[in-house]
Amino acid sequence: MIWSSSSVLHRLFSHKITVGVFVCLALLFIASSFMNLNARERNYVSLQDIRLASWGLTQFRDEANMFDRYLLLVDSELANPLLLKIHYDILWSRFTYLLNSTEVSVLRRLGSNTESIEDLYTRFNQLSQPVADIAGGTSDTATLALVRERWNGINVDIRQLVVENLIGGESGDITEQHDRDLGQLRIIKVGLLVMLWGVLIYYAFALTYLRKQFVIDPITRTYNRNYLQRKYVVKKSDTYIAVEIQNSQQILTEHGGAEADTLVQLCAKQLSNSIQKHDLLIHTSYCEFVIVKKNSSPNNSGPIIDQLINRANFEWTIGNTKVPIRFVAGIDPAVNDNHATRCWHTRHRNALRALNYALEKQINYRISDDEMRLAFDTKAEILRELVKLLRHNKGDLKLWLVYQPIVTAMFSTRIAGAEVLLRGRLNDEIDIPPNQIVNICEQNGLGKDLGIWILRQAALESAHLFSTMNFNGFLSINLNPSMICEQLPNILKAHLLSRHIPARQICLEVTEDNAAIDFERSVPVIQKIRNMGLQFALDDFGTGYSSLEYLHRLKIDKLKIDRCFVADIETNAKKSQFLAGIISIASKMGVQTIVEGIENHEQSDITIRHGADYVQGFYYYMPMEAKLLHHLLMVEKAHDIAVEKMITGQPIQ
Amino acid sequence: MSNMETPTFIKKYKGNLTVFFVVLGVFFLCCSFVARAQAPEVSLQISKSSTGLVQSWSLGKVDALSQQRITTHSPFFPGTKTFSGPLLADLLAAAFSAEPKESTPIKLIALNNYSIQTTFGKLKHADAIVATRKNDLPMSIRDRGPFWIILPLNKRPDLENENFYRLMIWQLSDIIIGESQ
Repeated sequence: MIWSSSSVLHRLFSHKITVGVFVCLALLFIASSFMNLNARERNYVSLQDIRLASWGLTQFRDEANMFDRYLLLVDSELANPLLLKIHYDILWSRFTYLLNSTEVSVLRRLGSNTESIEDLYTRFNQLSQPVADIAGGTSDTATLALVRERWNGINVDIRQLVVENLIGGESGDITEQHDRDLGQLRIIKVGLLVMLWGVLIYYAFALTYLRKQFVIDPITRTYNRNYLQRKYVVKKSDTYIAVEIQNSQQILTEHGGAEADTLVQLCAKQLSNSIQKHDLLIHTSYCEFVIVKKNSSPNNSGPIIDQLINRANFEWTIGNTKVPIRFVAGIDPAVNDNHATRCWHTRHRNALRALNYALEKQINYRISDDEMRLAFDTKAEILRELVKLLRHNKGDLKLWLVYQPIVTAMFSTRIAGAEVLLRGRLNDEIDIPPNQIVNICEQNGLGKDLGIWILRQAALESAHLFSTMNFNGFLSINLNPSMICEQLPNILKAHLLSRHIPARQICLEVTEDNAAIDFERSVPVIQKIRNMGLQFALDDFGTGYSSLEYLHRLKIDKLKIDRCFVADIETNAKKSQFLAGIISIASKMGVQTIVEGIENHEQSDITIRHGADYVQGFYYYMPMEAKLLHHLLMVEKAHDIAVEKMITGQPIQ
Repeated sequence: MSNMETPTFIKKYKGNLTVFFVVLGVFFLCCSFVARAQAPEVSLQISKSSTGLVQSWSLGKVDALSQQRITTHSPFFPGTKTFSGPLLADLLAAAFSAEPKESTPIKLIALNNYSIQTTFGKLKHADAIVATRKNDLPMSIRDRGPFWIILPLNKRPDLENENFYRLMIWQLSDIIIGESQ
């Protein structure tokens, strides 16, 4: 295997080797500390020690010389023998000094110095009595001769000892160890320095390498996200394009693992082939790329990018199948305005928004413009305000509930129930469609909070409807997708049923889309709630990916037929028959029907003729606030009482 | 011993100049020791360089002064030992009826002719004593006596260096006050 230079560098600065070098460095420090400790134990000879030792030796030699001289003088009867004794004692004390004092301990440690001095001391001690005799005058010439003979032997050895230690010799040069230690120390120092420099240079290179690697994507070998953060990579005059593979999640799910890496590599290759030489390709995240098109014109970027994408599209051959790979782009165009300062984060965000838009609408590309940015900003503001509101903080967003009465088909004036509808307004001027509020909440994990808010609000506004007005119709409340979960029974108990709303008068509306996504989960929950006495209605029937099977499996009480089945029934006989068919199937399955969106008298007549149980629409009632609904119901009730009294013949009060 | 003997020496070793000078040197050397060597007990010679007057202080005379005790270690012997003797300042005050000035040069000479030169002030501030007893016993020459300058190293860590160790001269034989000549 031939190693490419990048592979060699990769190996050289790999985790293992870097850690290895670090361990070496640590060992180096440990070794030097150990050596330092060892040196302390070994008691390196200092120059001061040598000075004291040589001083002691010099004194030793001088005092020996002095004694020698007095021996000569006493022998020639030129000196008082007492002086010989004094100098004998002086030399004697010098021996004890050499053998005991800490000052000259270095001398004793060297070679066989201790033994030599002790030997000399023993021999010298043997002269003690004869010298005392000479000093006391009780000796003869033979004693003196004996002392002189023995002393000469000792003196020669003393000189020998001094010479060997001071000037040099085979055994006991006291400076020798000092020099040896110094030499050793020098070698260690040089070694340490060399190794330290080696390590420093290694890490300097490693740092450079890492800095380079930091901006390179390991899979595609193109630049990565970090490169974008460097200065001057993205300029105002550049077009910033975010590119993603269409249905990337699906493709990755089907061909995950190592094959996915191959796909990403292929994509990078295709894209880099379709861009111009000075343009930049950056791999920002899996299946997502950024192209920085240099110095491009702010206008007419669309067709150029469309062309670029079409060039890059390819067929990916995997095994025996060919998967078409299509790219989708979101574009943040270049600007001419020199004053506009936008960092790459902003441009990246704009491009991603455009990309998401394009992905949602299944178009090839989308150029970020003011309208789109405004829509996103509004959405962001709504989300911010929603968070505030759901945390019970006052903000610029106002949410409230309205009620659209549902009437019985048989007596089209009689209010049988009401559907609770959400209304929202931002800054007291912009009305926000309820489905947008629900979508934003669902996308940002606020679905349950919004659902609970609606339940609480509905309970608050309608409680006295049930308690004091004895309203015996139903209240139909829409459940957003997050609400269909295991906790829903408890949520209903806590926020609705505990507030004196009778269970049997609540109808929960679910859409096919959210209830049918996960039958395994939703069916038991719906069943449990139905057991509590609540009813379920399937909303927007016929608009989603629905089948009649859902009707059966979801075990619902009411079916709400969407307005699209009602439109034009007064002119279109086929449509009318179709509606009749749906109502008939539902009633045969024992499900009550509520037909929505009835706007005129003809539609009303036809629907009622077809046998719908309930009808709802502008033709009967517009959605209204709770107060108005109360008022309506009061009027209806008064009317009932009047009719009843008329029938029973009681006078009207 | 008299000067009359000198010519005999010259005659005896005539023709050998080297030996002659050696002997002559040895002779003068020994002459300088003769006066002191007469006394069987070594006493402390205290003198003033300006007058040349030499006082001889025997052990008994030194003992009569007020005594100090110092228990200390030193680089010269293992362990700690207790020394006693008068303060050097007291001794000099007694010898010259007044304490010398601190700036006065002082020369201390040992029996082996080792000598050091310092000022009186330095020794005074180091609380130097002229020790005559070690562990309450008089010190022989073999014990580095009879006189030993001892500094209280145990109590004064500031004295623990070579600068002061060198002042602790043992087998002290002469103290000379004033400019050396």
